Parts: sequence; C-alpha cells; structure tokens
Amino acid sequence: MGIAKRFLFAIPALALLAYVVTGVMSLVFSEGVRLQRVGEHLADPELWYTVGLTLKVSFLALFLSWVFAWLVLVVLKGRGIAVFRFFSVLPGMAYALFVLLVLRAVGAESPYSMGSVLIAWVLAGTLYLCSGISEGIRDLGPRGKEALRTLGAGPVRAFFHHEFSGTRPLQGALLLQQLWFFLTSFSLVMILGGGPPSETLEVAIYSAMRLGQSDVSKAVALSLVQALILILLRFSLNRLGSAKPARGISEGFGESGKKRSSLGISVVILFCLGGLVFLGPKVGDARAYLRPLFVTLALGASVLGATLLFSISSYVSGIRFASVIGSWCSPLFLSLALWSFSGFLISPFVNVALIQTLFFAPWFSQIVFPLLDRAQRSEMEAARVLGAGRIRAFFEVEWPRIRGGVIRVLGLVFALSATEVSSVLLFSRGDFDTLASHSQNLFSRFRIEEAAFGVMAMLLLSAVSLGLGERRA
Amino acid sequence: MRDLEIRNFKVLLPGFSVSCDDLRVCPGEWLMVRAPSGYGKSTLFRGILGLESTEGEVILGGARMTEVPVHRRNFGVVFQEQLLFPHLNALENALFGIRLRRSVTEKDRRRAQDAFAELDLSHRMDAPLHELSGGERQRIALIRALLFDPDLLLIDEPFRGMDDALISKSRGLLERHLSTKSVPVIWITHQNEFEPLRAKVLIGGELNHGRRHFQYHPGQSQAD
Amino acid sequence: MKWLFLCLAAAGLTLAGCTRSKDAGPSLGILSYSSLGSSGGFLPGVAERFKQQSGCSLRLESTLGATQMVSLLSDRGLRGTIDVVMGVDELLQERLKGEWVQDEFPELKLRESLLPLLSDRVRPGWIPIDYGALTFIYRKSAWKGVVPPRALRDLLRPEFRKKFILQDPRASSPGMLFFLFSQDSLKIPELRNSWLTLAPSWDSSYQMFLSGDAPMVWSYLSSLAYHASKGEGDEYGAVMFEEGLPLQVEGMGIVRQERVNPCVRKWIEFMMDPQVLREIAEKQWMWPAFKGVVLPRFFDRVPGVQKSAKFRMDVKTLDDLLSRFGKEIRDGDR
Repeated sequence: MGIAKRFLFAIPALALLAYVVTGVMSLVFSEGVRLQRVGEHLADPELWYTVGLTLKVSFLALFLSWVFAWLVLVVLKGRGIAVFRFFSVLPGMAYALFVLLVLRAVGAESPYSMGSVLIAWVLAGTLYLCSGISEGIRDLGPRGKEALRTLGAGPVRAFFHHEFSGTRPLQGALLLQQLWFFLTSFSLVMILGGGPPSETLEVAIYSAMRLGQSDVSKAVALSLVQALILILLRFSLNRLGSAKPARGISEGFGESGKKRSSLGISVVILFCLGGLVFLGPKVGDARAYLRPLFVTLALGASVLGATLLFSISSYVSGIRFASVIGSWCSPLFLSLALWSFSGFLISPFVNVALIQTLFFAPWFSQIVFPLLDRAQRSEMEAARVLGAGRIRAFFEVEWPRIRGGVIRVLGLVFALSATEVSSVLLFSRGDFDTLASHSQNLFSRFRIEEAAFGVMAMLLLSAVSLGLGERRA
Repeated sequence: MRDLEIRNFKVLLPGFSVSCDDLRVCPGEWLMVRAPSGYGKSTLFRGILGLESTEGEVILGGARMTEVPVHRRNFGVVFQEQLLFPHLNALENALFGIRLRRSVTEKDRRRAQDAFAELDLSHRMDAPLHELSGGERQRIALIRALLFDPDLLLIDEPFRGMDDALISKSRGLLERHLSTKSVPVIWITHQNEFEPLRAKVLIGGELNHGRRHFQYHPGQSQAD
Repeated sequence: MKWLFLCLAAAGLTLAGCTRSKDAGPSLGILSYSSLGSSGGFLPGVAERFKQQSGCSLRLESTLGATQMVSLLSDRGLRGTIDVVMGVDELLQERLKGEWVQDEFPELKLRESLLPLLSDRVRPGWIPIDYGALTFIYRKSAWKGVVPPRALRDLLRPEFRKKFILQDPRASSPGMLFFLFSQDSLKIPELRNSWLTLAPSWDSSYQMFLSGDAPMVWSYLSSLAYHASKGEGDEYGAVMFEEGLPLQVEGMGIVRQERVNPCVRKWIEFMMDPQVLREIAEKQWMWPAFKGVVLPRFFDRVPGVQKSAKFRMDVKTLDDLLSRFGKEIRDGDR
C-alpha cells in the first residue's frame, strides 16, 4: 500500500492517539503535578506496599483461576462452558455482590477483606479462562488427539500434548488479559476490600484523585508503576506466542456449542424478563426508562462504529498499538486525564463514546487481529486471479472466515457499553443518562426498586446483544 | 486469435530470480514447464499470473498483461493446492469465477452440472469442502478454471492424486473445452503425466546461485 | 454494511438530540456534583418553574465529584459559564472559598432567615441550603440486650467489633466527617479492627447495611424519615452521641466573575422559598437550612439535634488526615 493511502487509513488511529497523549500530558504537566513530588511518592513505602499487595493477590488469583479452569474443563468436558462467556460482561460489582451473598450465607464473620477479593477474582478468572480455553480446544479439533492415541499416547499424555500444549499460546493471551482485569479492577475491590490498606493500584489511583486533595502527583506515580507492570507482563507473556485461533469449519463441536450457549443466554433473558415483570408494578412510571434506553442503544451503536473504525484504521495502517492503548494504562487515570483535557471541550456524547471506545477497542484487537493476521494469502490470490479486486476478494474469501469472530466481539462490545457506568457519570455533564447511569442515580436517592428495574433492563439488553452475537457468528 | 508471447521475462524475488527464453504459444498449443521440485516452476507461474514482481513482457492477443491488474487478466488457473474456498460448497466453488464476472444463469448451472457428471462428481455438488477428498477437490478446481471461459489456461499439476481413469476423464474435459474455445495452455509438471500432441517445452536449469532459467525446446515432449 | 450505516445515523441523531440548545435570553449556569443535577433530581425538576418566575433559564452542568469541580473552577477559561455551584458542603467550601464572590448578601438577611443552629455558617459567597446530622443508624432487632453506643469511645467495645460500616474518608464526605469528628477521641490504629469495612461511598455503605452485612452504618439522622416513609420507622434507631453530632451542611457557592449575573440574586431568592426547600427535603432527605419550611410528615420521626459537634475542619487538618490515613491504617494492622 502506498504511503499516501496508508496515511489516509491511519488518520482515525492517529487522531485517537493524539487525543490520549494530549489528555495525559495536559494532566501530567498541569499545576497539580510536581516531578519532585512524583519522585517522593515513588520512594514511599506505602506505594510499594500497595504494589506488593496488588501483585501478590493478582498472581495468586491468576494461578488459582488457571487451575480451577482446567479442573472445570476436565470435569465438564466442554459441556455448558459456552454459557460462561456471558459472565465476562458483568461488571466487577456483580461478582462482589455474589461473593458477599455466599459469604453471608456461610456465616463468615468478616466478608470484607482481600481474601474476599481473591475469591471474587478467582471466580471471574475461572469463568473467563474456561470459556476462552474451551474455544481454543474446540478449534484444535479431534484429529490431532486421534493421531496421538494411534501413536501410543494414553489419555493423560494425549490430553497434555493436545489440549494443554495445543492451547498454550492461547492460555498465555488469556492469562495476560485476565491479569489486566485484576490490575485494573476497581468497583469490586472498593466494595469487597474493606478499605485501606486493602487496596490495589487502581483503587489507590482513584483515592489519590477523588476527594478535594487532588494529589495528582501520587496518581501519576501509581499510574507509572502500573503501566510498567503491564508493559513487562505483555512482553514476557507474548514470548509464549500470540494466540492463534485456528481457522475453519466447526467439526461437530461448533454447532452444539452454539446451541448450548443460546440455551444459557435464553435462560438469562427469561430471568431478566421475569425480574422486570416482578419489579414493574413497584416502579411506577416505566416511561422514565425509555429515553435512557434509547440513549443506551445509540451510544452502543456509536461505540461499535467507532471501535470498528479505529481498529480497522490501526490494523491497516500498521499502528496497531493505537487500538490497544486503552489496555496499557489505568482506565481510571486515563478517564480522569481525558476529562481534564476534553471534559468541557467536546460534546458529552462524543466524549463518552470516545472513552468507551478506548476501553473496548482492545477486545476487538485481541480477538480479531489474530484472525486477520492469519489471512489466507493463497486463497486471496486465487480469488484475485479468478477476477476479484482486492476489496471484493476480502469480502468473498476473508470475511466469511472472520465474520464469526467479528460479530461475536461486536456483540460483546455492545454489552460492555450497555453496562458501563463510570464513563457516563464522568463525562455526560448531566446531558443524558444511559440505563446504567440512570440506575446509579436512582440508587443514590434510595429508590432501590426502581434502580433494580434499571439494572434488570441493562442485563437484558446485554444478554440479548451477546445472544445475537453468538447466533449470527 | 490470441497468441501468448513472453519476452525478456524474469521474475524477481529477494536473492532469487527465475527467467525464461522468449517464446510464443498459439491458441490450442500447450507449453509444458518441466523441472525438478524446487527449481522455480511455481515462481514462474506466479510471475505470469502477476503475483510477483517481474521484468519483461507477457503479451496476450497483443495486450500487454504486465500492465493489467491481476484480477482483470481473465486467466483460468488450476493451482497445485487447489485453493478452493472452504465456506462454499463444491458447486459454489465451481461457479465462483462466473459469479465474479456476472450473474450465474441457469445455463451456467447446467454446464457446471454436466462437468460434474463427466468427472463423476454429480453426487458431490452440495458437499461442503471439508468432506471432499484431495482428488475430488482437484477435479472441482479444474472445472472452476474452465467454466468462465478464460483467455489463457495455467495449470499446475492438476492430476495429482487421481487414478488413470479419472486422469483420462479430466483430460477429456479439458480437451473438449479447448476444442470449442481454443486458448494457449501453460502446464506445469515435474513428471510425465501425459503428452499432448502440440506441446512446446520449457525446461528448467540453474545458471548460478540464485538464478534459474527455463530454456525453450520447441516440439520436445520428453522430460530430461 | 447497512447496519453500520443505520448505527451511525442513529448515533448522529442522538448526538444532535443530546446536544443542548442555547436558550435566548438571560440564563444562569449551575454546576452541581451530587444527585441534585441528575435526571429526576431536584434541579431539572425546578428549571421550568424558575424560568417562569424569573425569566432566567437554567444551564445545568454536573461533574462526578469534588475533584472535577475543583479542577473546573480553577480553570479560568472553563468557569466562565458557571454562576452558581450547588451541593457544596463545608469540606469542599474550605477548598473553594477563593473562587466565590466576597459578599455575604446582607440585604437578603440570610443569617436571620437561617435556623439558629446554622446562622453562623454563612460565608462570603457561600449560602447553606440544607443540612444533615451524621450518626450511626442501627437495626433495633440486632441490638437486643445490647445498649447502643453513647460516646465515641464505646465503638471500641467488644460487642461492637465488626458491627458497623464507615465510608472511606478519601472518597466520601460523610466518611471524612466521621474521622474529623472522632479525631480527638479515637485513634485510627485502634479503631482499625473495629469497623467491618470502609465503603467507597455512602450509597454502597447503606446498601451493605440494608443487605444485613452489619447492624450499624454511619449515615444521616434523616435516614429515619426515609424508613418511616417505607413503613419501617419502628425498626431503625439512631445513636445520639454525647459529644454531639457532626453536621454536614450543603450549600451553594456564588462564583466570582468579572460581571455579576442578575439571575444570581433571583436564584438565591428562589432557593429561599419554603416551597422549594420542601421539595429539596423530599428528594434529598435532608433538612432545609432556612426557617419556615413545612416538612413532609415522615420527618416527625427524626429526633432533633440537641448538640452539634465542634471540630477542626480547615484545609490543613483535612490534608493532614488524608496524608497519614493509609499509614495509620497499616499501623493498626500490625
């Protein structure tokens, strides 16, 4: 591709990069930051205590999640695993509340501690790793294992050399992603951690910038350490090899897996509908939810469009890191930095859509870019030789291959957008509400049943979105 | 009549090049390209198709193909790896070339069905790709290359994996097609699969490290 | 492709719909950060009425929290459109007092109109609007046979260990007020093992309390009115500390601008209207700061504040507490 064309494609990605860099620089070089103060914070034992605690609990949660994920996979043999994917869009608060319910039921004296955070993280991690690894195993297909068995490998060795070793790069990618979730986990730690000193880096950043004192130097110091950890992790785990989802046709597992996933999501949808019907009479005027619902849909659609645009731009132009910039640093710090730059400069709706795009574009890159990397060059050439131009060859040959992954991730991004609340609260300036922010506002005014109604509507929307993504994939 | 002319032709790859003598192939004539494995046959093939950087000229019916984009050259190609599309079934793969040019008509479907019947594939028309054997895919790739009436045929070891009976039927299909629409044929092989009557031969050899050259032997149909 | 186009079109329409139109005529820019400014909150509810009475339309802005508000007001370019800031409590007032006009509006007779409890709380450019008394709300059924705490030191008794929820002072004003209130009676390291958790906000702490995680939560005395409105008035009680109760007073700050917006005084007078103050009380469950307001009947269930606690609340004290908070917590763990 010529330089001029490449530059044209790069414009959206470059614009996003410029936006992020300008925002962060404007905060870092604002009056609130002193390099000397940043240095003092970096030398503060309190900061390193927080770092140590974060890493200890994160790595322990990661290890336990990985072990439990394999146990679940072996025991269930892939049955019902597809349903787990739905839980990946639930906010951390949902896991926190579930763990609290369970701990209360078993009579735990003190449910608020890093131990509870660990339990919630292991639960979330196990579900996520299970669904990811099971997809990888499905993509491997049975032929390799059959070959191992005919060569003389028993069940255990065949399992190790096929399912386990065959998904090693994928496991590395999933573990990295899950570790990122842990390191940037916020509401879950805030609720379950019990307050200081049980706080992770993300919570510490929030605390440094939340109330009046506005110690941006401390937030900058914490963010630097967190970014360094994420960079080191990414490089070291990438050496395992990038996740290579195999191409191709389902070999019997795909169809039944899809049916199980559809069944699970249908159950969740029915549950949400039941909740809405039950709460309906307590809500009064349900029309108050119509505008937030419409805004949620429009915002989700905008975020989808922007995510596609930025991701394609960064892939085609080669500036891939632009699409994953949101995953390299603290989402909270990024939000606050961008607010300080553009909070009152850009229209609120655009602000919210941009920040959500930054958060969710890495999902798109992680799932779709490896598929694009494995473009079947020979088949593309065959299509071109047979008479298809470049774009038509892409849509005739490559799009059918990657369509499943793209649609699935778009369904996921929509669901994530529908349940995201902090970006709306931060950037909307009261101009509009989504279902999530509307529910949050109701809750803060004691209107619990109405808030629960909004949460049910939100969950229903995300379940429908995921379900559509599964079915059309 | 659309003759194929190749002049001062060289395919350029990093550290490697493949060239051939100047030659002319008339419609109905066959150009057999022979060399052991790894000598650059496929590279030459790709160069003529326009998939690699080249020097020199490839002229078909007076038109300079080197100035025409790949997808507009109207070449019928049977690839060594078949390169059928896994998301399409057998019949859809065969009709793919037509679909890229115009709407598929009932006549096209009948032609395809006739070709399938001739190659013992009638019962496989709706089969997904992963259910087809190597030999079946080979035959479908041949049908695909012929159905849209190309101006030049390039065929890379199309009879691999076939028994004698199927080779005979495939040759019959090819020769029948050429009798109605006579076009030049370039045929890549490294073994004696068959010997057409009007065949010219390019035989590959190594000049020195990194340079391969194919010499033209008019009328020779024996492998070296 | 057509779905993408439809999505983009829908987004464009929503963008247009979400962009506020500029009203012609005089207007008042109001910034808030509490639930005051959100949909269904007090401010959007009175915008139309204020316009009819005064001829001034409201331009509402809201931020997520105090930090954003501080950041916004310290930016000379951005603050130009803001005339009034609502929901400013005394803690935030301490930080922002340099941004207000230096006028106590004596002609409005604010001090005489305020409740005696609050008449000395007027500051230049800052007017109290409503207030709440903070204390522990408890579930009576959980304290059978146990006497609720009477003094702050009682919180260290074994029967209250892990039985109450506080808020993180770095993230929550009620939480900060607790630690300021208790700074002379209780040391953080000794209190550390007594609380069940430091919740990130009053919202989440109260939800934990309602869910049964702990029988007692640091909250507003007027929460009893809310429970009364739900028919649960007899189930909850409030601790009346002998040290008195800290008051959280929220008010509005009048932003210092080059030219005084004539709508500002109209807004102040509007906010002193007893009917308007009653609406605030109904939505926010806080007491109005001014006299002459007839409260919803559920407020009858709330005991009066006999003694308001006095404690240091200056910026230096705040910053000192915040800077040593983490370390003292860890000291309490050892």
